[in-house]
Amino acid sequence: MTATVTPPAAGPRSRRARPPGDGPPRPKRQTGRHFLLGGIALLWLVPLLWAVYTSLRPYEDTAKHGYLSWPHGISLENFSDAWSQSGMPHFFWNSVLITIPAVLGTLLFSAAVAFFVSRFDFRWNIALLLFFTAGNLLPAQVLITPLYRLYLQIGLPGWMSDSFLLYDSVWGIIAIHIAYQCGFCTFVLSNYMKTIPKEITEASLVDGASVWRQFFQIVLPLCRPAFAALATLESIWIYNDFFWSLALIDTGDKRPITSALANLQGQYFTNPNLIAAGALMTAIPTLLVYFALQRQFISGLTIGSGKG
Amino acid sequence: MVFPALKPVNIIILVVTVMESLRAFDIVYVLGGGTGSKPGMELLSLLITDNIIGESSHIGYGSALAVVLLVVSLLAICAFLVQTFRKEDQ
Repeated sequence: MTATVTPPAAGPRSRRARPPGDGPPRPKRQTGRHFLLGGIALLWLVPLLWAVYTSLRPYEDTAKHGYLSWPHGISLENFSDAWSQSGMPHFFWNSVLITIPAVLGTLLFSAAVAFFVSRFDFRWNIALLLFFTAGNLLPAQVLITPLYRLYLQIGLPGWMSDSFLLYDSVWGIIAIHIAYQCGFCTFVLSNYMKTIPKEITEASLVDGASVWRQFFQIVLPLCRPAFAALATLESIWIYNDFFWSLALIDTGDKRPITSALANLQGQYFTNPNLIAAGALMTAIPTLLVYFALQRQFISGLTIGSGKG
Repeated sequence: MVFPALKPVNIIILVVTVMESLRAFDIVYVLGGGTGSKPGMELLSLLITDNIIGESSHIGYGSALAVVLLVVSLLAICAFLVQTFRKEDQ
């Protein structure tokens, strides 16, 4: 255990200071470990790297020589084709229109439930929290029958959706994302809110703050780290979702980018290189979100487990 | 030495992995071209989707499959809940 704790910078320096053969064989063992870890990491990256490689080659090349061959010409043509042919900007915009309201709504509603569960002595607190956590783990397909029928029954005014139904509209997708992601967010946020001392809200109560004011002006600002972590996770999950938009949107034009990628797939002819290019471009926003908010993302992975 | 100490975490990891594999949908859907046409790729989640929103709408059959999936996943969910909330009751 101690070998992993020593900082890596100490290895080469101490080796240089001492005469050879005198120091412990620790650096050697570490290179072996790094080699193994690097090898496994590379193994995980192979499909992604292969997708990048495939997307750079023209279709004629791979059709003639196979996918495991040296390139006979590399270009970015597939990327520009995928961008212009399938109307990707439009579908990216659809994804944005779904993801941002869904994340904000999820955070607001789950914060309200978590606030109640963690601050008030309500008889069914544990049951309510159990219910939300269980809902978080449920497979989406279990709900699809009633949801599909329900969406066909609920009407919307014309300015919200041109299908006049919750089915086949962006609103329906946003609603189901909010409902579905609330379970996880409530679980994490209630764990986080339990770590905020009760004395803070009691002090504000003495000063005459109502429950609404306690919620919006005291507890919510204190939960900012948890919100940042959850916003990162949720925006990636909602953006990556495939099932809901496939099942609940009929018009291809309204779909978000993940399920609209199927537009690149022709009925009789499919160009896998083009699809690889499109899929890689689809992955860029999630990578951007991840790299921009990396610190929150990593703290978010452990935030709920601290007091589970 | 390490594994007994990690037992609660390992149970949660096991349960969540089982849940995620029951949920698996998108990759199989894309590979199979929608319908569970390829042998060995008929997942419960895929069959449910096909029967309910597919062209041959067998709503009753699809719903029955969904209930089966619900029962299977409820087992895993209960294991998760017991593991997570046991400490709070004490």
